[in-house]
Amino acid sequence: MKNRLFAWLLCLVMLLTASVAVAEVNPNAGLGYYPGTSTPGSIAVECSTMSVMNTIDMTYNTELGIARHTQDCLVKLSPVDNQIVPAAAESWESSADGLTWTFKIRPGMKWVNSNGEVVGDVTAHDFVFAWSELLNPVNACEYFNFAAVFKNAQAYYDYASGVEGAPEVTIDQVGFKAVDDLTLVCELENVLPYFLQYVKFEVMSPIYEPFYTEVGAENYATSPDTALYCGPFYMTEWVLENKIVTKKNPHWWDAANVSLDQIEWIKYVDSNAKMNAFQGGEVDLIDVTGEQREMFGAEGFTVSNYIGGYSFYLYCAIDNPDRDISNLNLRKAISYALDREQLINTVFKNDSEPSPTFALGISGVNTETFSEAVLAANGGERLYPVNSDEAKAKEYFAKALEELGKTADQIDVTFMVSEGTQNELYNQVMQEQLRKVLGIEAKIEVLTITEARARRNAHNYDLFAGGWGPDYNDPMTDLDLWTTTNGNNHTGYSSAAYDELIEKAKVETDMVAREQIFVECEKLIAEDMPIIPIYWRHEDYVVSEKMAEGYARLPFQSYNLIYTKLAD
Amino acid sequence: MARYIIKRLVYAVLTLFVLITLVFFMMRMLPGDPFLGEKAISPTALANMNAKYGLDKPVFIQYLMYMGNCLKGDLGVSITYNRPVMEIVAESFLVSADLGIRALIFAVIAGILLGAIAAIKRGTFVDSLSMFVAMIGVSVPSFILGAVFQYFLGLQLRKMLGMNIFPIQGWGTFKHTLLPAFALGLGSLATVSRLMRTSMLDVLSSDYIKTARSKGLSQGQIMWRHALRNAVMPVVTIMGPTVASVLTGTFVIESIFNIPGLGKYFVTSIKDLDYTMIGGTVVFYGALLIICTLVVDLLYGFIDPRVKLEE
Repeated sequence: MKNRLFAWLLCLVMLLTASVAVAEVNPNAGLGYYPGTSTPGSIAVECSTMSVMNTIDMTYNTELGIARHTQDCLVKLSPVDNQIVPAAAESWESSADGLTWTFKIRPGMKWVNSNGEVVGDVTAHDFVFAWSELLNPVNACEYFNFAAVFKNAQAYYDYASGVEGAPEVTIDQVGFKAVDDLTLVCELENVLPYFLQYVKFEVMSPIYEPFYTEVGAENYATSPDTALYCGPFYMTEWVLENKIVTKKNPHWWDAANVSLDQIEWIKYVDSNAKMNAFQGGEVDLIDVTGEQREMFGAEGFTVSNYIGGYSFYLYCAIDNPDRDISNLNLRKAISYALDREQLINTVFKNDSEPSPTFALGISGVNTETFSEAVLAANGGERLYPVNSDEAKAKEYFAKALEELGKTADQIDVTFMVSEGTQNELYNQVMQEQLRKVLGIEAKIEVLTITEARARRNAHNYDLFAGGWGPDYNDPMTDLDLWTTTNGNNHTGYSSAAYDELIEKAKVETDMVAREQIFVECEKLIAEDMPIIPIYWRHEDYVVSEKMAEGYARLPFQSYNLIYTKLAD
Repeated sequence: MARYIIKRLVYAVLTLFVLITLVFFMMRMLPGDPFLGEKAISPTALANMNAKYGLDKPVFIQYLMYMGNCLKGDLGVSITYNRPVMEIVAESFLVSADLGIRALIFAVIAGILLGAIAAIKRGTFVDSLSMFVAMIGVSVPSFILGAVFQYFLGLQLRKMLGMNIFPIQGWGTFKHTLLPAFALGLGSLATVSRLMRTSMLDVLSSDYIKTARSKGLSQGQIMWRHALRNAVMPVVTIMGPTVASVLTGTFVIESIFNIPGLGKYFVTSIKDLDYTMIGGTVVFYGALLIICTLVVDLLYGFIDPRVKLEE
């Protein structure tokens, strides 16, 4: 019992230290429970997705996490405070109107191959080439839109894709140019206060054109020796869907501060096997489930956790008046009926929090987080309750019944669920909570993930649990979701007021005023409730005692292990 | 003989053709879209992605193109991994086959021995013990065996002895193959030993064994020359499908021991709706199954001259 209390206290201390954002220090250092892998200078870490390694084709957080170690974008995020720091660009400046950015590329940066041999210099041309390939319709890159912020880029993409009526634009007219080997000038289509957040995205990594043409676009980065690397590590081995081995790049500009020799990225399919591997010293960092967390806690081994920025909610298909869920008061009744705390404790058993607001992981202008700014503007009140508020739930429910002309047992609401034990449990708990508080017999319909997504996109559902992780550190990444035309707005929500707010935010240059616009957006979501925010995810992981400090897991940085220091 | 083989080969090609056709149209009937990710894609980008994989053409044209490519031995490019399906299947099949052959050798040798001994020592403790082992093998699924081996022989043994005898997971060295091959082979071992015991009992009570005994042959000679060779026939019969299934890997054993084999792609390609990968794995598995069955039929003739291959 004492041990457990101690562990919880340690967790609390960890949480507090994590919130002031320093690169991690291992909370279990020297405990002697899990010493980790035996190869000196090397660590093995879990990585859940590693399907593609061509940076322009990447979409998964964890793939981007590996690219963070093998490539250098113009800028990076610091593992200490998650702020923008120089990487391939030594310095940069922007014009007074914020539309032109000039980057000075770090001289002497090298491209190395899978044997660690120098192949060429990293120049401004490599960025121009990579971004051109990102915008090349033949490559069909899912995240091409990161390069679509440049002047004429979207127009070029449309023209090159053969969109009917698109005026002719050539790639030379797109707003990025290498003035000389070390000077890159970017022109933007619109003012983007968070432009640097875009170029830090690993999809925007440089590519060395002579090598790319030599191996051919279709073969590039399909194996360690068909790619080049300019980051702190280079890839030496890749077994598809199994593991990737990266070694320290001695030619990297800051190699003197890298003490790791090797990182092995392992993909696990079986959660128990992963746990056995950690306990047996075959891996140094794994993500853990709520049950596994309890087990470690009972042993007195501290589990770490981080916020990746994922906010989870229920999509509501509100644009079909035949569906009961289109009734606003019913959605509000459901939001108040749900006991978010109980839900987290039953299903996830970790530190995930009931959402006080929607957007998570975003910094505020004058507050640490954007969410704090929303709460401050709302008189310190949360937009969504922690526990079920029966009185309010029933009050809204009575209104809903009256408007719908139905009795409680006639209310027809279905949770559409994509298969998976935890997913199903999550929805069952909500189903039970609605039954208890509102007396609704909600149904559950389990589908494969692809079918569920197809139905979600067609607005053919009532309630569907989903989540969103931010791509860059600005409220826009979360809040423009709910505009009428956004492809990710699967609710059918269409509010002129909301759309107008987002348009205003796009041109507002005063950061405080801009943030207030986003605060209004958050309030409008709570008022119109196209989604019912449920929880903010905290992700649990354990680290072997081998990794002493210097690693980081933060929003936008699922892994930053570059400066990991090992225990002696 | 040659006519028989040619006839069987023609049947094999026809079966494959029907299989590919069925799978091609069935997977197109699955709800959803391979590019339907968590985040939405702009219509232009989606059109570009469809064009890249030829999904913008009418389904029937796609079918003809796919068939044409299959004939050339080209199974297309995986939508998920963006590399040739043949390359992925070949790479991972080598791993699955490596593990499978080890499991099979273990299963066949141990299974035949166990079954034969049980039959010879019928009714004794040895019989009960070997049939107990067989019962465990048949009734406990391999994923439970795998998990149990991993936990006790991998993790707990290491903790107890402080040394690494059986790696917990991974692939690459001989040590890595031991636990998964054992877990994978035990099920087949059980089937083989039970079949062997029954058929051996039959053989042992037949007239030619009595003749052999009355000739004064030694027990060893009778068993080796007369009994085993005849009793092994039913085991050979089930070898075809067993070889195909063991060689192409199993999702669970490969998941538990984190082995980069072919097994997982049978499951994940359907989940991801990776059309080319679904097609590739099915064609490959189908072809292998057909070949294995054919080989077994031919083997029959060699082992037992009474079996005539011509109709």
